[in-house]
Amino acid sequence: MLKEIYDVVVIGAGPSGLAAAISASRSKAKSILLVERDKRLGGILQQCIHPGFGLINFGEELTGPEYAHRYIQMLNNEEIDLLLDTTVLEIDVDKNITLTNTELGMIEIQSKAIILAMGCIERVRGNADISGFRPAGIFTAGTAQRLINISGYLPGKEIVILGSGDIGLIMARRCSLEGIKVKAVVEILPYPSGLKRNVVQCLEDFKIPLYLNHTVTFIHGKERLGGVTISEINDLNEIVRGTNKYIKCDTLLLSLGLIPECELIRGLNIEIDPKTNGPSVDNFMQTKIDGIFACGNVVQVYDLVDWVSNGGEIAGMGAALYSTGMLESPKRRVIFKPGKNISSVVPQVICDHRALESQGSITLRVEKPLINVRIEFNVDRKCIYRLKKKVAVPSEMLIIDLIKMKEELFNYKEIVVDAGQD
Amino acid sequence: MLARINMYKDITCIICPISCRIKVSFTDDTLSNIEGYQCKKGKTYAMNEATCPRRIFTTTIRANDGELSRVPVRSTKPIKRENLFKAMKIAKNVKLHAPVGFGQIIIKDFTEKGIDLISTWEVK
Repeated sequence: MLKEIYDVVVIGAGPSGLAAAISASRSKAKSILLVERDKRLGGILQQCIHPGFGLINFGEELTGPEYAHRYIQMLNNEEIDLLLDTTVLEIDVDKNITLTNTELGMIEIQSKAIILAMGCIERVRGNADISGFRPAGIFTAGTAQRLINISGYLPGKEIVILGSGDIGLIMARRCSLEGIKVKAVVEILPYPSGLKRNVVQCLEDFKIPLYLNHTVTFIHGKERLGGVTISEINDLNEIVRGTNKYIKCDTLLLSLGLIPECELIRGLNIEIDPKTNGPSVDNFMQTKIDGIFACGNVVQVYDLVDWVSNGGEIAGMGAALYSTGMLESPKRRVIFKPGKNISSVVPQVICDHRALESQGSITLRVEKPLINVRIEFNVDRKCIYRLKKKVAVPSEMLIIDLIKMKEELFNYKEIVVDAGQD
Repeated sequence: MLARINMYKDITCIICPISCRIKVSFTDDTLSNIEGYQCKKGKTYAMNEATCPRRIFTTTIRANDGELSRVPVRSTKPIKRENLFKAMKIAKNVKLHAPVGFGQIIIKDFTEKGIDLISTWEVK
């Protein structure tokens, strides 16, 4: 039986929402509702049938569905209300939530705390401004993954993949195994955007050519895709003349990266970090609006699901404390800002409310591959903390432990994180 | 005396972001030298990768009469990389009917003894 008021409502039952709901329940929130628009729990993990999940949280290599299954089992041990096949239409600052499904029609419920766990969406053709015709046969890599793995349809016979993000690489392997000819993976950057192991196991294993410093510059075909023109791109992001190359194919998969899915909170006055495209959060994953928390890929696009779950766990704890009035307002806070060579820092704010019981670390992403890296915390250009790493690549998030700095952190108002090479 | 046959394989280590380029050399088909690694894990990885690379195999299999039309499956252990396409062929010929339980054995001794193909989701 659905209640009118909940302690915690979690929006989205992918890896972050599942972890958040479980954690809120374990942290003694009295009533919890988990809302999911799909008919099943697990979110995107359902279609990520490949292995590589859970090495950190379970110490073994699980597939996406298996990883989701572990959390669903844990969820089943908690008392949590569940609404599947249900879409949240609106939330407001007073934490009223309007949702709809075919059974209940449109209803409104209230919550003391809300956890946003909507995940992210894929960039599409329009985001990349590719010129040419608009034939059938152009899919995002994630759509193709769903078609193959869940619906059982093959998107085409000869494909080119634009973008070397992990989903694109995984799909190169998946398509090859299904007997689809993968003619090329085309990447505009001088290095692959995905994890090294995916480059090795998804491209090199199947001898798929990877064109770095290249992009698709024209899409051919009127009814169905007939082929694409790819061209070399120089450092200034210009097409290098005379490098056009036509590749015949009937399908183009786009793996252009992911963007946090923030549509639901656009109406709220929540601060969005222009670097992550997700809401700014503190070390309890609380947004700038008291009692509204966010976790998982809606905050920033993570590279490992394990980090997503861990963030969800913290948000669940924070929301439970908030709903029971035990999350005291912070007295001191320090803002983290990305500086030189750093593309993002999350959480953006560290507060002293039981700070070290929550997230004792920050996550960073570098803008480009660096070797012999110096990560520096700077206050007014003075370095207060420094650490070294042999390598840092944009595809792998860095996690920096703050526990050692503890109290010292709160002597400062703003810390700029820079990365340099020795 | 017969000439010794020397060959080598270039392996990119995937253990950590350093991504060492490791050169594994063979003389007369026996491993003779490994260089370029920076840690023990990397050495073992390169050795296995150069002699017998293995991969976890995953795909989906049609399940008739269920609420989902396909069920994802995996090999319980990594299979030989050279057997990936053979594995696809075997998996394609499997006919399943719902219900399929989570972790159900679909094929015992899949491509080699001691490795099973199991479901990784349930179809009611």
